[in-house]
Amino acid sequence: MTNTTDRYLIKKFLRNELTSEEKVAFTNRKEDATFLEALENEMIAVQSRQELKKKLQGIGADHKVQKTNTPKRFAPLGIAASVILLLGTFFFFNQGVNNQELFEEHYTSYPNIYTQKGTSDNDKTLFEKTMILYDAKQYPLAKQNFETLNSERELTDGEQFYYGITLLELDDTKTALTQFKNINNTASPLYKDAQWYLALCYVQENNVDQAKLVLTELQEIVGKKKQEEIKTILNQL
Amino acid sequence: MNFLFRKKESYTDSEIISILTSRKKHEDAVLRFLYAEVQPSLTKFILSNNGNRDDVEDIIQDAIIVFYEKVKNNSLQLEKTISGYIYTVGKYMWYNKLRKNKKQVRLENNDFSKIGLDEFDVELFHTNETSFVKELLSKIGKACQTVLQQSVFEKIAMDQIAQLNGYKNEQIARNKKYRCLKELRNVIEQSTQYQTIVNELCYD
Repeated sequence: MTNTTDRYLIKKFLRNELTSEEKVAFTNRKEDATFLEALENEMIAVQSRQELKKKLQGIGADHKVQKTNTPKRFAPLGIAASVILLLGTFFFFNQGVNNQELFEEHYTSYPNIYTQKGTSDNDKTLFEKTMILYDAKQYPLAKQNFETLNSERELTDGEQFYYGITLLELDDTKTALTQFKNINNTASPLYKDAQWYLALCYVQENNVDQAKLVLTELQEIVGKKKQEEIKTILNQL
Repeated sequence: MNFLFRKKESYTDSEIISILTSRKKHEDAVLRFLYAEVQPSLTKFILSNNGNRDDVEDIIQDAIIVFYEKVKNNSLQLEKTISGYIYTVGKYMWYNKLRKNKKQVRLENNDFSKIGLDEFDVELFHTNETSFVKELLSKIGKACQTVLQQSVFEKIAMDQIAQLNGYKNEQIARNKKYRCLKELRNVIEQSTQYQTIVNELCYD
C-alpha cells in the first residue's frame, strides 16, 4: 500500500496543488519505481471512480423512478413525469445495460446436487473432481476440466448443466447458452432449470424475443409460484 | 429446486464482501442493495444538516465508492456493519463539504482517520484531478484503460481479464497490461504538468 507521504504528493500533483517544497519532494521521488507505480494506480483509480459514479447515478435514478411510480389516484402528471424519466433513463443508458441488470437481478449460481462419495482423490472421476472445484468457486479450473471431459466424450445432461453455470460465472454467455440448449430432453430432471438459465442467457445477450419464448414455454410446465416469478420477468422484459 | 426462482433481495455483510472480492457478476445487484440500505439514514442526516436532495444522492454515491475501493484494496476497517460504515463515511464527507463551503455546522467529530480515511477520501472528486487524468488516459486508448481498470481497480484475475477482453490467454493479457502501463508512464512524463515541475526545479 502507498505510504502517506507518497499518497499526499501524488494527490497534490494530480490536483495541481503542489507547493514549491512539495515539488522538490515530488521530484526527488519521481525516479522511484514504487512511487511511479502508485502514481499510475491512482490515475487509474481516479478514472475508475468516475465510471463507478456514473453507474451509481443510474442506480440512484432508478430509485427515484421506483418511488415516483408508486400508484397514486388522480396523479396523471406524476405518472407522466415518471414515464418520461424512465424513458429518458432507458434511452440515455442503452438497452444492454438494462438487460444486464435484469440478468444480475435474477441470476443465482446453482448448488452442487451431486453428493460426493467418500472415496480417496485417486478414485474420484474427473467430473467428481470438477464438482469439488465448482463448490470452491474455482471456475477457471472447473472450466478446464469440463473442456477435457467434453473432448473425451459426450457430456451428460448434468455435466453440461454445470459446465453452463461455470461458463456463466466466467461471463462466457455464448458458450453457456449452447450447453443449456443441448439439454433438450423434456424428461431430464434438469430440463426446467436448464431452460431457466437458457432464458437468462438470452436476456444477457439482449435477445429479448428468444428469452420471452423460452420463458413463456417454461411458464406452462412449472408450479404456480414459479409461474408468478416468470410473469414478473416477462413484464420486466 | 425452488431456490432458482428466489429473487435475491438482501445480502449479509459477509456475502457483500465475498461478492465484491470474487464474484463480479453480482456486483451491480450488491451496489443496488447498498444504495437502498443507506439511503434512508443518509437522507435524514444530510437534510437535517443544511443539505438538499441532490447532495444526498451525491454523498451516497461517493460513500459507496469509498467502501467499494477499500474492499477491493483489502484495506477496509470495519468496526460495525457495512451500512453503518458507509453512513459514517457519508457523514464525514458531508461535514467536509460543509466545512469547505464555510457553512455553520454542528461538528461533533471530524476525525475520519479513525476509520482509515484520509483528506482525499472525504473529498473524492476534484475538478483539476479529474480533467487532468481524463486527458492523459485518453492518450493511451480505450482498450488500455479497460485492462488497467479491471486489473488495478477492480482486481480481476488476469485469466478472467483475458476472457473478458477476448485475449487468447492470460499471458497475452499480462503483456497488454505491461505495454499499457509503459504507455501511461510515457504520457505522464510528457505531460505539461509534469514537465513544468521538472523544468522549474532545473532552473532554480
